[in-house]
Amino acid sequence: MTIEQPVARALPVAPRHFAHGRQVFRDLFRQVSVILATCYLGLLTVVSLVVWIGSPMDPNAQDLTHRLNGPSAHHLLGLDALGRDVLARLVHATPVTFLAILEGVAVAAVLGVVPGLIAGFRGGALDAVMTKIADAFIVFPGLVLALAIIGALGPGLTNAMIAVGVLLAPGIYRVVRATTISVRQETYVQAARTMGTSNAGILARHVLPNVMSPLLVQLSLTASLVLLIEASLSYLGLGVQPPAATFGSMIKDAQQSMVSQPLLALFPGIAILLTALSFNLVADGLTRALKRRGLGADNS
Amino acid sequence: MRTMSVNVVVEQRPPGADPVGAAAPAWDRRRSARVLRSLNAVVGRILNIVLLLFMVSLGTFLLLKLAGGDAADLAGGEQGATAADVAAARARLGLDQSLVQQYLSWVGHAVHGNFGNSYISGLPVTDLIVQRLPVTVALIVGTVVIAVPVSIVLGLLAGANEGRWIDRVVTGLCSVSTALPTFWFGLVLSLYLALRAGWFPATGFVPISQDPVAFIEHLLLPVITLAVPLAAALTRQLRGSVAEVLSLDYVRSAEARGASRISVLGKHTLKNASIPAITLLGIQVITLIGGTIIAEAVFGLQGIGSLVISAVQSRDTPVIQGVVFCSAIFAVIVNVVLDVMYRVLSPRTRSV
Repeated sequence: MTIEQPVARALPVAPRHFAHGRQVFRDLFRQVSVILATCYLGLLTVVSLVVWIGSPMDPNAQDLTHRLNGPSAHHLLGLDALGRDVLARLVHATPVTFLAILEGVAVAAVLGVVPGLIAGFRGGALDAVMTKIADAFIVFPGLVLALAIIGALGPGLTNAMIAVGVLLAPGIYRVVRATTISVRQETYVQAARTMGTSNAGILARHVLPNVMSPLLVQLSLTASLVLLIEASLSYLGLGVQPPAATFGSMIKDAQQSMVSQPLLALFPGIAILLTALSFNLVADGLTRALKRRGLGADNS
Repeated sequence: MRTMSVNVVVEQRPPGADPVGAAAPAWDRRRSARVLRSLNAVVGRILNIVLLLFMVSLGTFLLLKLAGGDAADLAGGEQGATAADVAAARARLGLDQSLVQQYLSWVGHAVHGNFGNSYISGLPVTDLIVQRLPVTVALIVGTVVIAVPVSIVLGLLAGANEGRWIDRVVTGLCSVSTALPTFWFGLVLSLYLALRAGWFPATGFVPISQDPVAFIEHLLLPVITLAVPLAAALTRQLRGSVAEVLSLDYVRSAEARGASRISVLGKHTLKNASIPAITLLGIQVITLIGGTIIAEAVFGLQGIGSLVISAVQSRDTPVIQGVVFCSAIFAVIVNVVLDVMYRVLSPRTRSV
């Protein structure tokens, strides 16, 4: 062992993506779209935290005499059909929506990353079987699958998010597997293997850092999809159950009084649009920043 | 195409060789190898399809069974049902058999196009699906018919003018459209164009055989709702590949030879840029089944989507299972059509 040490030092040092981390970070936040998107997502995070700690607003207080009133100095975004303040309801829906996104992305990440690493690293029959399953998911209408899972588990936000996570996991699996395979074939990984580095060591030191950047792009895209599907499911009444509300279920509630007060459906819709757009812009910006450093994530 | 390639082989035989003599066995062997290879490919593809359908049917079956919530409680469980009533209902629905027996009997019936009866209405699932199929098919076909030409025009415009203002406008529109919640967009359309302006009916469906004009009027808003995100995804893809193909040598040499812009775009670029776009279109058309569920809810259409929503809410297992299985069959059909289109557009894949 002691004799081998100098040889190991002489071998080419593996290029590590996070050595470029600072440059990529700088390139990322040089883009106006990314700055705006991050500011918006940051604002929503702060709002979520404030609500979580305890907000001064009451989303269920009713003012029946002024119901369906438009925006006023007292109620900045107006009142809904039950006389509840729309701004307060939006603010209180933010942490619920964010938590739902987090749940969906977490399920998708766990179901995608671990099998992706194993399949890409091991190859062979296990890889073939898992890839076949992932392909079957991808050639199958997603929402129908989500509905079948909700049909089995019953409606509710957590169940819906498990369904959405299962649905989106194959996309993450593909990205992780493809990157792992390409890293595994690199000379420096083979060199590390010759030196007797364990599989766990290779995974931690070489594969994971390389998988990280395409994974981050994919996670950001997944977050946007999770949000959109959650909103659809909650609109269909299969996601969040009252009295809790997400942006999607607020639109469902607004639908009945939409003709007399269209603003009710407008605000949560714009909130969803901006949030999904922000996640997409961050993903696009990150792809661009990585490409500039020659770290192009090849996920199309 | 097949016969043509066989002719080529015939011409390649050494001149003067006896057609039935010494050269024939080698030629026969080559031809039979070719036939065998394509036969292998076809069999492989069919096996793949059977495997997919098997996985989907078994997956949904196990999912719905293992989650518990016996439907006999629902079917026999109206007011004042005793335990004996529920047991009778269970026996009537075949739920007292083992899981393997239940699955096999479902497959046995499904092969003959029988997906059992709805627990709620008692009607055959196949009839329910067939009855609602026209609405869903009309939505999907209409969406593709609108989205594909729009995305070809926008994708070519943006890709050919990469970096200029028109590209920026198109790309921006695509970004916004991809982030658009479909159901909300549909609600906004129905509010402003149907309920407020009164230009279109807000809900309902008229069969094309009954009144073609009313058919289009009723479908236009839901179809636009679904076509916008589809067109956005396709445009994005086409723009990227058009820009890429335009920078390739053979396109530039065609331009240098004096080929017009239109012919370069149409003949060389679009054909090559269309292959990845068609892959995406296939995936998106399958995803559209999900989209129709939402469009049907927003515009009050009675299609497969509303069928499955009510089935999920009432845990009507046979209906859910039937719809999932039919969606899988639809996905298979789309994939077969895709394969054929690849073969037409890209001769390289023909030998596969």
